[in-house]
Amino acid sequence: MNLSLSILEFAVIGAGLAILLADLWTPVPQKRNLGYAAAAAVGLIFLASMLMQAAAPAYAFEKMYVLDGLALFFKRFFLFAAVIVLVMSVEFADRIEAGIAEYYALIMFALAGMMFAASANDFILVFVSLELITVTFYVLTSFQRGRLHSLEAGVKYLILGALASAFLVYGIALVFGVANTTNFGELMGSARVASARPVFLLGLLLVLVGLGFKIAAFPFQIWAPDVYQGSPAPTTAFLAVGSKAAGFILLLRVLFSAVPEITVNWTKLLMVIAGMTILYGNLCAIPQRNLKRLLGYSSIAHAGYMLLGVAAMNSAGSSAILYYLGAYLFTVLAAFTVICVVMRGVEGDDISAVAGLHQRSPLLAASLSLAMVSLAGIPPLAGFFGKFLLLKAVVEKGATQPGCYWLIAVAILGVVISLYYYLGVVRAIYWSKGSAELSDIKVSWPIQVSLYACIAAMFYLGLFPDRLVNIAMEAVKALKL
Amino acid sequence: MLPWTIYSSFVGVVMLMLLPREQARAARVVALFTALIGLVCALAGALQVQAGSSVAELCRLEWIPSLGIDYHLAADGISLTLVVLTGIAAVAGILFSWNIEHRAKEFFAFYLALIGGVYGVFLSFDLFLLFVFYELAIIPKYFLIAIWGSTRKEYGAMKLALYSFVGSAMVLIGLIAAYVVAGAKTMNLVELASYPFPASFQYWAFPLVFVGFAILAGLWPFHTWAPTGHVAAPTAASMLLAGVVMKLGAYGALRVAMTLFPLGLKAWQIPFGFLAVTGIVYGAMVALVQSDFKFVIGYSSVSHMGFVLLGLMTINEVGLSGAVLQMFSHGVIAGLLFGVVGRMVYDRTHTRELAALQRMNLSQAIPYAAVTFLVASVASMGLPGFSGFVAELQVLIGAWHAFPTFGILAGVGILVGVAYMLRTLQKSFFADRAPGGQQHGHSLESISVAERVGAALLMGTSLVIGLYPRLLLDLIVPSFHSPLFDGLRKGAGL
Amino acid sequence: MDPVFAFLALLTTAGAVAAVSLRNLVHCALCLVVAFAGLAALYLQLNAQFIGFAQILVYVGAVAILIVFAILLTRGSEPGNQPILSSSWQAGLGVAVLVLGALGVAVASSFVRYYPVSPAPQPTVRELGEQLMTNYVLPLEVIGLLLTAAMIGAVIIAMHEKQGPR
Repeated sequence: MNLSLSILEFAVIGAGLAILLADLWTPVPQKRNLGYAAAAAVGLIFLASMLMQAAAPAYAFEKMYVLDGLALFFKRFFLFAAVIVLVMSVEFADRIEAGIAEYYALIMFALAGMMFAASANDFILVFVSLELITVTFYVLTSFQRGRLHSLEAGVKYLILGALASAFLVYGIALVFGVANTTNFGELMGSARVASARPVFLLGLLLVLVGLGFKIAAFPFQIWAPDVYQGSPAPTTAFLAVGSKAAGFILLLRVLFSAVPEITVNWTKLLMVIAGMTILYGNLCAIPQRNLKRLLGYSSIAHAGYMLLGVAAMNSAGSSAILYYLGAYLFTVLAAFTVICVVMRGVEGDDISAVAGLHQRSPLLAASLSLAMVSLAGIPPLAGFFGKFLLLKAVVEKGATQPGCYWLIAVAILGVVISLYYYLGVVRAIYWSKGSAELSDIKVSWPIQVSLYACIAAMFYLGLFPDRLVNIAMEAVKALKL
Repeated sequence: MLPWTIYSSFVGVVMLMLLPREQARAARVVALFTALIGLVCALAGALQVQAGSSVAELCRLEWIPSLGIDYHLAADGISLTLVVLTGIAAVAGILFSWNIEHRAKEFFAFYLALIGGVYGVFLSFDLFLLFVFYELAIIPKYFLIAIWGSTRKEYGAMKLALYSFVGSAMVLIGLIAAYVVAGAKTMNLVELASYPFPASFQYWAFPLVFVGFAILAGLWPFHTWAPTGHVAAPTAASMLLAGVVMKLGAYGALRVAMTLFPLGLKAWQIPFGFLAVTGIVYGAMVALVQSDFKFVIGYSSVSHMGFVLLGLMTINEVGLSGAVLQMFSHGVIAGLLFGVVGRMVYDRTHTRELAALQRMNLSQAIPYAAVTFLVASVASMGLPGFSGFVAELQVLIGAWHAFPTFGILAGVGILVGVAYMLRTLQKSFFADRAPGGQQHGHSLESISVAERVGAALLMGTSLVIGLYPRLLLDLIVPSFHSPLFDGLRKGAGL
Repeated sequence: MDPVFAFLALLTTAGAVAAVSLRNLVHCALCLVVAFAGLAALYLQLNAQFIGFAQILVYVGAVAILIVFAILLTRGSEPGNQPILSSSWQAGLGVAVLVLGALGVAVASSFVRYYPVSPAPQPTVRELGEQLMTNYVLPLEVIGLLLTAAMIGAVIIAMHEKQGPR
């Protein structure tokens, strides 16, 4: 057993427990500042993760846990996201009536779950890490007990999340029943034999359903808009970035590490799901007036774009997903940080709340606009290059699968539709009339730092994508593509 | 020298952003200064770079080595021509928007960003880079129209943005497909152009990329963004839109679609030639019945850009060089026309209805504007002595060789063009004074120095090229013998 | 038929029937406990130690207590006035018979019956415990963290009922 491999996770759990304990001795007015301590701790762990190497996959806990390039990539991803989300939560602290320290701790527990998910090499670990993420998010979504929307979000997420977990665990049981193992490595050996049994395929399909809920892919996306809308902004941000990425890493592992031989037969299924997800997310986003709900639909659409990379079934596609997630991370976090700051005391998160933002705070206005433009996929921002890589992967696939060209057409249609509503937000920021509130917004320095970091990253990834592309290509070598 | 056209524009953007908010005058000066630097760089570059029948390398750095994408700037005669055009149009546009007070700093920042993107497109010889610059121009365009525009500005801006975006998405797919099919891990234009793409691939890739670009060049029936966009745009933006941005589309169609896929071009020559001629005639006919001054000019742009596309479809040297010359010529003339309509007339009278202008007796109120418009219309009609004549004549000769019927139809288009310009000229400036008409004359402010200089710059350019077209033709014609056009020569019999 | 099995089956069924037919809710809950206990005994009789004890711990222990608490805290123990049988009990009976018939046919015609019965694995609680503490220690720990998180969440959401939802 090689405990040192999962040192990062244990560090995160330890830091989370430390925050819980520190809460006992912290005077009430100081409690919100525990968030900075939490962010600093996670930041340090993030820096420590940069020192780790994973040239060859290393296993622990009876091969249940794997540390390879892919896992490390995602751990860094989650750690960075958590830092920004924690900073955001400090900003949000005065809108939470009680238990702010617990809020920070729960974010860190969810983070630990995501990091375990990144290393999961066994269905058991997949299930428990996913449950850890989901259960913490049940609480995080309904943290503003005083607000009906927040409670509604919590209840909806609870019911649909429980349903998804049921699918997942049922699927795992079926797979285990046929293959007599839950380990990915052993499954790959027995998959060819087992794939003759329809029950095995049914089990895998149910697992996919469970993961589909996590990434909000069509037709399991219904929870996303309501939950995104109702949850506290930092929760939504973490849900949009962390939970979705956790779903994708598990999807990649299950499809391309556990049962690659079966996956190749599912190209058409994945293509249809990707196309429908893109269309659904983009079409439904058009009439939205609530900014968080709009981002909820847009996150569905982005899950669809990333599914393009899954459907492409080549290493170009998978590395494109990694790149895309990297770009998505900074973009979405920038957007939600701005929302978190701007929507103070605004009921309904309506787009009109950002009207005239450029006069109230140029930094916030620029951040949100750049985020929208990057989400729309316009160069030189990060989002464009991500879409470029995904489309390239699908075009490469097109040589053997002519249906891919239809998928490309759908994706392009989605991108064009999305430009409409993203530009709508930008328009509201820069020249909508009749905004009542025109006072300057004070932006605290940690928020400024995280916004500048996100903006810099958006430009860096868009202008100099080579480094991340190489890292992503290295990372996906862990998959059997 | 030439790459500095791009860099100086973006430096200008940054400088403008650093200016304090309410410094309209400083913003104007910075913008004009930047645009002048760009023009000087362009002219100096055009004199310095002896492209001849080759592609002159300017700058080549590795950018994204894992995908074989380079930061690769180069120029041939076609690029040089259009870079010079961009420089002239940029300076003129700023002179014509000297009266912008509302958020002037942001206006000029977006304006220069657009200019920088346009320079970038004309100088990129790496397809990915070209595409990035091409897309870079969309957002500033949208903002310029949606914030500072008039008449249904948000509709016009969104329509323009969506059309551009659809076009560029088609182009992107075509480029990725070409990249993947060639399999050489390169986005270098010259290398890809020499790759023999399979004919079956070219048959669908060519229309995809060509239409993607030509949407921005106002190819009928995808032209509908052009009139609404031009009308909604503020003066400087519509000058740029007609003067330069539409050229981006035509340039891309020639530079990318035609050189990469010559067999596809050959197969689609007649259909697209037909669309081009339809655009010429249709644009002219519709312009004939417009009641809004700016819509006349908007539709005339569609018609004139039809000549560019027709010239491209002739696939012979005369037609192609005519097309490039027409790009230059229309850029100058359309800029001038939009300047007169938007700045000289609309900003003073606050109406663009020809029926209302008819009663205002403008030729006496603002005589300089009348003269300018007279010159511009004459140039636009294609009278000898102005650049439009040489360009359209070449296109017609080329078309006559390639498809005589279309040549004749295009000639009809020119005649209709004369008709609508004369009608507009008469209604706008030289109407008989209607009894009981308003005596608006005295209240109009006189034409400012900035406008005079801008108008003179554009008129002078058109006149110089009209009188001595070899100035540009000596640049343009040899570039069709560069290695870039080898494929076109072999595949489509240029 | 094994007499022990027959006895346990009768006990379980009787408990279940009583649970739905008695008038006093507390009595119903206690009868449910009998049914749960009978099931647990059935598991143990089948040599499934772990699931048997888990049944006792989770259902007889936790769930039943929870139900009793819920009854005590909400409606009190006085019997209601409604009749035990719903007015459309015939229809219900019909559906029940149909479902039983369908299940019976399905079981009778299932191919499972012709498979040789594989030797049942004999995991003892001890073995399960060893597995949990060695190979599966990581999931176990993650579940521990999960329960911590869930408990914190339950406290946060249930605590401080100073103001209701706005």
